[in-house]
Amino acid sequence: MIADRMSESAGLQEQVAAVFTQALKIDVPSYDTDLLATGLLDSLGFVELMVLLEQRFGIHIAMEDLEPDQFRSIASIAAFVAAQRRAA
Amino acid sequence: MTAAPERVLGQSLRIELCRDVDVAPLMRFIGTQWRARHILSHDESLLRWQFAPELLRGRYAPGPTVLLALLGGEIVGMLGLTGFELNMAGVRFPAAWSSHWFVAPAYRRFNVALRLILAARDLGVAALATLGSNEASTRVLERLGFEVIPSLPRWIGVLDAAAAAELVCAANPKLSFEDALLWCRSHLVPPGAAVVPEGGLRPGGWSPAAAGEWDRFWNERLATRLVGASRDATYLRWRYVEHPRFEYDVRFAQRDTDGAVEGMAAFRVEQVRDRATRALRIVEFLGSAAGKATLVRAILEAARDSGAAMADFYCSSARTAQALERAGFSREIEDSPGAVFPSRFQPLEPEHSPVTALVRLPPAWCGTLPELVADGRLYITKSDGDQDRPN
Repeated sequence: MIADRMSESAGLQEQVAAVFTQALKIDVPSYDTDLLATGLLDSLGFVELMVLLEQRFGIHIAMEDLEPDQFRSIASIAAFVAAQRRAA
Repeated sequence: MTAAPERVLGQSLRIELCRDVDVAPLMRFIGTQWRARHILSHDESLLRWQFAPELLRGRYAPGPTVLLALLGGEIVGMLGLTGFELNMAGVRFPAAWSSHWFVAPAYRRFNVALRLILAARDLGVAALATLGSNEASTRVLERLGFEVIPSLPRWIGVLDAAAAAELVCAANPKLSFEDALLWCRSHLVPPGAAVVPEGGLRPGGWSPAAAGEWDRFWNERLATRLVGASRDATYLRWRYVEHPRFEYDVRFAQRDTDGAVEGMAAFRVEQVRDRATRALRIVEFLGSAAGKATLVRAILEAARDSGAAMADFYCSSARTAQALERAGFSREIEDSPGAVFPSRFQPLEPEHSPVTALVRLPPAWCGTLPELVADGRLYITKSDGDQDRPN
């Protein structure tokens, strides 16, 4: 079970990283890089990312639930996506 | 592999409501980071009027209702919030118009703008709206669940074709004066177009008694069928009577016999900068059929008395504007093969500037904006938000 979760997490991180490189054209040095503090993702990029995540992962991100910290790094985005999928 | 980017912002960025002690630094921020001589950089009374804390219902604000993004005590971004009561067919919600959504250029990569709008969400208002949003802001807000009206409809009536043609010529440099004149004549409101209404109504100005009668009419006849800012007398007094810079004319349609009110209009005369021409800007137009007919006549008389070349009215509700159409006003067609009537006069600007409206309604009403527009219940005018403002 734990191994499955870890595998799922690693897979999601790779897929989220692919969204950044292929769709947003943003090179992120590591899965833990702080996207907000380093200025890699501005407000427009942020909402574009939301759209892409919804399309790629079949989740819905409502403004009511939106917290920037959930999108602070590729690792935290992957964790957010996983949680959204489990809650669906 | 790219090099690790420099970490510039962290947890130290704070979003807080402006306090009285922040007002002077805020005005300096506006004047230095936004635009030198921006009116809010030097007109404190206007800033305090627009963001009066008592307008934001259900939430204590320690000063003007402006959210500040603070980094190490320095202002790096702002979002103005003008509180109002949103009337949804008789049910009232605390709401706010956002404006002045601005981040210092050096910090635009750091999600400051997004954090400001999310902080506005967390203030406890049930609805947020904005008028005059630019393309980038519209993209962000639409994605955050705001519904959009790409261009607030505008009704135009020409009162003096020759004077209006001069404005149209200036706004459409390729147009000859003769063609502009023809264009303006096609929008002419003929003298005597507004018929003397039946029903014993007469136009009257603002008075405490008339305001009380207006409240009764608003609550009994209008509030239950309209959606928009609750336009009771308290709102009208703040928005028009006590405006620190503009001189609005508020007129009520009142019955001769008992003083009961059946309609209300507000407008102002605007002098076009560096020109002799004036325009009349209608910003409110509500009432019964007889009330509106009375008010149309009063508006046209005021326009002619002031020498206005043209009059306009931006409003989301086509139903509301029907009485103006009957008097000869016509709805502006944005992609018209003819010409463009200028909309900004300080100074006169050549292009037509659409007034985009974005609204995030209370949850139970989400997704209903197109229906509210289609059936004329949504009543937003240019005086909502901050679009009818001094420059």
